[in-house]
Amino acid sequence: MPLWGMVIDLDRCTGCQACAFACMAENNVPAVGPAEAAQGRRIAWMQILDGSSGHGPDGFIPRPCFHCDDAPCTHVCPVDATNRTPEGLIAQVYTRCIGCRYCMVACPFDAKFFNWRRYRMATLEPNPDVSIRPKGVVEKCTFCHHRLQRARERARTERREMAADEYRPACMETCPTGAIVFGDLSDARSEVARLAHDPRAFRFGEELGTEPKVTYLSRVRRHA
Amino acid sequence: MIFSRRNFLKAMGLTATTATVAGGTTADLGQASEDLARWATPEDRWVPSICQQCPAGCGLLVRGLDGVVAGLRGNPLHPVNRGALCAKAYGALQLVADPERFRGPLRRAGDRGSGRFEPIGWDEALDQLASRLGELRAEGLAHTAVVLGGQYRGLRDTLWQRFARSYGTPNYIRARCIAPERPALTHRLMQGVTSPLAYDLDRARYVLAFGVGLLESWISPVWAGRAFGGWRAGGDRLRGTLVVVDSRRSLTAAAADRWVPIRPGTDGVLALGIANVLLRERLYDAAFVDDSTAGFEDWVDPSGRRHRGLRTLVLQDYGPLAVSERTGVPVETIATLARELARTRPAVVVGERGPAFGPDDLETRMAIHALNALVGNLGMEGGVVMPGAVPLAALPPVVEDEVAKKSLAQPRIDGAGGGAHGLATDAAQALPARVASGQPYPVNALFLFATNPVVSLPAGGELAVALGKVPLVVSFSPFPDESSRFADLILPDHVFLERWQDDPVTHLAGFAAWSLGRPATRPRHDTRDTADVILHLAKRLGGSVGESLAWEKYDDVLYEAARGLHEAEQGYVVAPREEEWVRRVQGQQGYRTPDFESFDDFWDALGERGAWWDPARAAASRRTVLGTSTGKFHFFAATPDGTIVGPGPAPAAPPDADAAFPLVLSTYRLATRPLGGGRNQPWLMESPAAHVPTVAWRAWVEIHPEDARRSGVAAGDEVWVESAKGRMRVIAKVHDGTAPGVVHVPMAGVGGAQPNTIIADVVDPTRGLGLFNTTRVRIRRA
Repeated sequence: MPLWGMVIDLDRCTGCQACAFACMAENNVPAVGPAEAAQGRRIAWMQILDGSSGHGPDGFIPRPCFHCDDAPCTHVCPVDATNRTPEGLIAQVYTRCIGCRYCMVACPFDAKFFNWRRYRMATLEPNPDVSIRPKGVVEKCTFCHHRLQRARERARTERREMAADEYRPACMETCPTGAIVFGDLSDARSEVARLAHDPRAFRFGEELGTEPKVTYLSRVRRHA
Repeated sequence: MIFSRRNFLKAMGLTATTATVAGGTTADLGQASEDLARWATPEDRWVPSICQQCPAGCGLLVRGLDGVVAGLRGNPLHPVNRGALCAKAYGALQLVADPERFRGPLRRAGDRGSGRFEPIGWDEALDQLASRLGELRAEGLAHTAVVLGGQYRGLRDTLWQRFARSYGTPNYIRARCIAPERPALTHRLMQGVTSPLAYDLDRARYVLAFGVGLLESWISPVWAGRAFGGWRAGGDRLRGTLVVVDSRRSLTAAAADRWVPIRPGTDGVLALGIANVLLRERLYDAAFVDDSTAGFEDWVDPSGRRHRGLRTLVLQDYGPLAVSERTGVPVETIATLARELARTRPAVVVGERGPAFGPDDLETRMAIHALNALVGNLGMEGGVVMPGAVPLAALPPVVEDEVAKKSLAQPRIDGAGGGAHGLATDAAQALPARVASGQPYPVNALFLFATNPVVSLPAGGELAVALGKVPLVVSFSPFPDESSRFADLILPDHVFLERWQDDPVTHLAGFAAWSLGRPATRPRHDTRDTADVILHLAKRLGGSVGESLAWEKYDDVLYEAARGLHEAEQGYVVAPREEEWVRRVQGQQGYRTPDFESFDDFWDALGERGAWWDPARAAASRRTVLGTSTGKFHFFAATPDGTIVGPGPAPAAPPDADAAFPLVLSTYRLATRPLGGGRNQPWLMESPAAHVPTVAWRAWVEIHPEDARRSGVAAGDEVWVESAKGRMRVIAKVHDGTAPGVVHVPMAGVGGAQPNTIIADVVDPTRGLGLFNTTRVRIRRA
């Protein structure tokens, strides 16, 4: 059973937001408009956090859902709308979500977003592989789970095993500097598993014990 | 074969025919195929296209569901981006869907500028336009028709050129910051080149960038980003180092190994300060400088005047202490930069956009580029290289009749190429004043293509007024903007995903590439590709114009030009890595096998995969990059009127302190702002930049904490940025990523805040655009 995870190399991240926009296009994430945005209701499954402390830059930090192995959001959901799949993905079942937003409160990483309205998709056609969320439900990064399903289906019709590199989320695909690496953490030979044990590796909120499956790489920088 | 619905239907149709002919009627047959069409899954295809959100020309794959755009991603085969894309690219999905787009051609129905239009048919519109243009030509006034074009290149540009020449107007003027298909003026003057040079970023190990937003807004953020990823890759190669000199902590500066904050407008001084250390510590490439440069030592010109050479200039005027005082960069940093630059190989210095934009723009750029000569990286791997040419087939020559010859001899309306703008190829910023004054002649027709000069030029306000004097203004904008409002006739173009496209990539890293994009969707409205409109117009005008543009449609032009690639015996249609690897091995052994039986097969493959390229980078050689008459690199050059220009920024002291306007306004380009500003792309408007996470749908000003305190402004305040010319209301972003005394605003503002409304209407003599970084402003709470 694969264990899907991600490594983000902050030394390569330039804060260009390509991953954030690729994610929006791939997952039918709408722009909420000026009025809603002013109320802090922007939806950004992949969000670029500004790491500047005010005294010299610490760079930018792309933040998808960490798909924590022991995810607090899954414990608080009263209807099991958000749960952990056997492959370690934290799923969000929109049809089951009652919009209580407990999971948003529970998530230490602000990775969950609420649909305050039925927002208009300003594209001609949405991505047909991803459902559009109704008003009143919570949504978040799925590690482009639909791509996994597609890749599996393709492999099945071709009567073969799916290779791990057939499943790549949109953010990884678009990153110009190759800062995002995705793959099977349970396979010790995979690049993502190797990088997750790099000396530069660290995870956010380690002390909370949520066991995120997104690992960051960073080394100290010097500035004039 | 890609399994598409069309193929599927074809196959099914065949079976259906056999079945029904055996025991049914033709009516059954018709019904059967109709059922099939209804029930088959929608056609799901990925069509190659080219991103036109910036001048980089990344390859796209656009997902079409039954011909409607439903997604896009980077073309994994395309040599520029290899499947990667930047943030802007995704805005294209919303550009197509923009609900405000013009539904079809329009004619002015109210007063000029009232914004009232009524629909008109394409034929009627083109007939009217052609007859008016014909009249002008008959009256000998062809030169009074002006075409103002924005940022685009390739055969679309060629068609406009052919139109202008055969019709007889010298006034095909471009309004744009970067001309990627032309050599930078500095390279033209110092190296005598006639085609653009490239910085071999991915093979360089030390990159010193002066004010260039390499990773966000320079020629190609994706290409530069891929090079940057390579510098960070480690492995057995030396880790690449990026040093950014900039008065603002840009994304590039934040990602760099070292950010060197500098007083704005003093980049050239710092460059010469670095040169000083290189000379005094004998770190420069003496062999190259002695053999292949001119102007290093003092020299005497033919008239007997003595000139200081670079050595004397630098040693006398640019000692590290003096330089440090003027630039605000510590002496130790200057020395470190010089030593690192000289000792890391290969190293390259980039300083093309942004550092200057002041009155001594040219001298600043020459000072920066002189460093490349001093470290001897010209024509070297990882340095400044000459990209290969794209061997497109030559189109038949343009026919110029007597009328055209006569009016082509008229001076340019913008004054480019003569007088004060002798070194400029275009001087769009000078246009408004010329239109207003009717000097040297009144403009009778103005075409606006892919540009919105009323807001994109600092002098746009003046232009809006001056447009009242032009009897005929034609806009090709696909959506309403400030300039199309003043048009008499609007002939809306397709947006780029809807049309045939081509793009030569020549300026990035030495390889030559040509992209071809097919229409990824059927046109959503009754719009027409402007390239086709030019052809239709030429046909109506007839005569030499018709002869010079004798194609039915734009893809015929592309088809004709692409034949040259097929016949060139070099390069190939992009292919998966394994296949390209085989070709490389073959190439190294000195033979090549033709890919395709016929040109049509070649053309089809090009349309399926999206690009042709020749990865064999032109042999790195000094001879190719030095095209001057002497074959040497010239530290100093003579302008057409005989003035000597060279490194050495104007020795002017820092701009005078001004009590009324104490701050210097500096502008920059955001990583998320596409050509055209992107107002109709909600995703881009909502998350403009990662360093202002709370700002959405608004513009902002970046201000140093000290200046903020002095102006009584706190972070997040609504403020007015005021100059002598005007004011704009924005949000204050207080942070230390800017130097004290300087405030930064992103170009192409939003929410009614346009930096050009406050930037002074000054023309940069060499670039013909506004001086974007010299206006003085003050800030107060709104």
